[in-house]
Amino acid sequence: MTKYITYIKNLNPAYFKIGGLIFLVIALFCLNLGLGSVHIPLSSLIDIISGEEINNIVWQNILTRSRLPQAIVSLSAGMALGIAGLLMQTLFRNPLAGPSVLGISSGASLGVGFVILVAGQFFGFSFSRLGIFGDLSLLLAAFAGSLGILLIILIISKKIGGTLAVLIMGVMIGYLSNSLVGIMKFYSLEEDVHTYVMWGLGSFSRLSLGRAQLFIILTVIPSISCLLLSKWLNLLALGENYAVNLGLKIQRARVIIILLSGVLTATVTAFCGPIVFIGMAVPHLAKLVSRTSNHFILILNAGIIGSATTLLCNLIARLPGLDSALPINSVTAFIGAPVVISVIWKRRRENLADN
Amino acid sequence: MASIIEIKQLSIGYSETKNHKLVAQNLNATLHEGEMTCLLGANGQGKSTLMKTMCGFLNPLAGYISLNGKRISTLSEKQMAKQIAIVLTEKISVPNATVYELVAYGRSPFTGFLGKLNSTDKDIVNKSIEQCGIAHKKYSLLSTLSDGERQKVTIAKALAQDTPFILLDEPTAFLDLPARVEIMQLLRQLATKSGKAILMSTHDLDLALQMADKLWLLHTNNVICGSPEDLLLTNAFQPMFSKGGVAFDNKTGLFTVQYQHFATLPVKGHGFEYVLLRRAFARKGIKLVQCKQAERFWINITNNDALPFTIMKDNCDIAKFNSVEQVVKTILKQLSAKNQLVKNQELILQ
Repeated sequence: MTKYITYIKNLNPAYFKIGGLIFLVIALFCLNLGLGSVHIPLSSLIDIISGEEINNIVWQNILTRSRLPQAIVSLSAGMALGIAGLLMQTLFRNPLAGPSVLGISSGASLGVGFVILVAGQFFGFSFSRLGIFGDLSLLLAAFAGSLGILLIILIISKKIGGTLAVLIMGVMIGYLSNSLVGIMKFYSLEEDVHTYVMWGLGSFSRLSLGRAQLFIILTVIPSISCLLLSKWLNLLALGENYAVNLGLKIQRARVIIILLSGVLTATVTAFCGPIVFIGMAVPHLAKLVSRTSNHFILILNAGIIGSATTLLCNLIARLPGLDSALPINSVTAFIGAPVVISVIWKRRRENLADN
Repeated sequence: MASIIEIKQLSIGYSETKNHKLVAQNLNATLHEGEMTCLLGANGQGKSTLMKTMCGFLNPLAGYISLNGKRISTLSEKQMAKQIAIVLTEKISVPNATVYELVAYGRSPFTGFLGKLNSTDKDIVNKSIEQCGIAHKKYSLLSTLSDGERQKVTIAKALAQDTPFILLDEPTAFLDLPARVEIMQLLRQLATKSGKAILMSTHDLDLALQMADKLWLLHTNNVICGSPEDLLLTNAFQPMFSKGGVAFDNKTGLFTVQYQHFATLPVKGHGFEYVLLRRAFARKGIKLVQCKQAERFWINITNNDALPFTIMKDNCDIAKFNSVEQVVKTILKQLSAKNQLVKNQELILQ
């Protein structure tokens, strides 16, 4: 017993905070299930979740087809984007870096734009009339686009040495794909453009329960793998020269970090559309919660806080009293921008001292 | 004493696909254990390039560097990390990092895949922090430290790396004089007590002369090595600082700035007051000469007087001063006033 107590005492206090944060995520998850435009009593909620049949089929449908997949998708997307953003901020040693900085979400937009705006024209139909098949093809197109860009970035980072050069290339590729999308939009049918814009607003509510389960698996696996990179990230944070001097194979580390962060971003963008600000704001919160530079804890924090943030955003987007859900990106920006502003504001002294 | 690093016929520079930019060549030197060596050289002579080559960041253009008998180009990153620890000019700014965390990252070459420290690692980290005299700041955030303390933390990190060789690129730049001396003393102690070979580049020649065991004077075509005293004996510093109004005094090991003078001023007297007066006038381009024959115009110095400086003209005293600045001002005023200038020309102007 005493051994157990001393073990607890010696535990890093950061782990207690992580425990608290996990509790917060569970609470937000439950709120996401419980709150919405239709009121469902708590007892029925518990019955439906625990798999018991209740006679109100509408409630059952609302929960299993809408609220539960949305909550799962929000949870996984937030985790993935938070971790991907942290990886990018550490790799580029830039507080404004985020998952979208390498042009990966632009790649997804390009893929989706190609399918919605160009394919329809060629085959003579409007995309918005396609049902399930269209949904799947969007997913594949987004994946293809973002992984294509990821591949280009990886090749570039192998060819040229500097991290900054990779960053600039990524941003430039992002601009290029955006302008390509612009040209496509210009020559497209109005309803196709509308479909594309809707996709670009991002949403956590597009996926069925089955897809949501697939999504959580696809994001959790790379997220956990990121924990294995924590030593590399700790060294990279010191600067490239120090990292090399401490025995880091920098080229390999850089490629694997970009690969994992890219896969996370690509998955989220393919399933939910481009989600802004979460990936940039969450790492700052993660560093604020635990005063440590150890990336093992920071990655855990970023994943959990990311989940909490997106669950909160999803809750706000579907506030009772609103007829239909707000676009998720408007909500994330409203939550994310103040976070980034306040962090920069707080840090301004520290930054001045550093420069 | 065993040599840890041996540099043979080394050429350093930057090689691109087509053109090589040679910075320095024909370098031969050795570093011994337990010695602190200072690398000196004018800006642009290749101090940083030499250091980068020694860390393995740059490949030598010709020749080789061997570390305990092995050429560094054959060592892997991990092996290098256990041989050379570096302290760079660039500031480490990791958000949220505490002193302990940063020093602990120095153990990275020895820790496992997740970087967890075992009890030996922790002991070494604590010892390194203590040796650098920052134990009281162990859990402070890096961003709250002064520049001098930060530099000590970086040195502690290098110590924790437990390498036979530590290389520091201008560790005393940006520090005030007491902090410079403190850092140099720390490095001296580390070299003597732990038997490490320490090489640091610096511009502080006077400190290097007093505190280093060996000096490396880097030139484009060779590097001159030796103890500070032997180098003084062989007059090795003169060519290094020969250009641009600076003279190196071999006897004191100090620099004096040389001024062009356009006028001379006769002075009677000597002592500390005379030295001060000479310095003040030298800045203004006036050289003091001892007043030998009778002059119309001179300055008389009475040592230990309340008013030591007297301006004399035709054997009468014009004014007495206790401040060097006042004397200089008065003389300059006289010089610039036109009528005086003509009158005193033969006296003051050469």
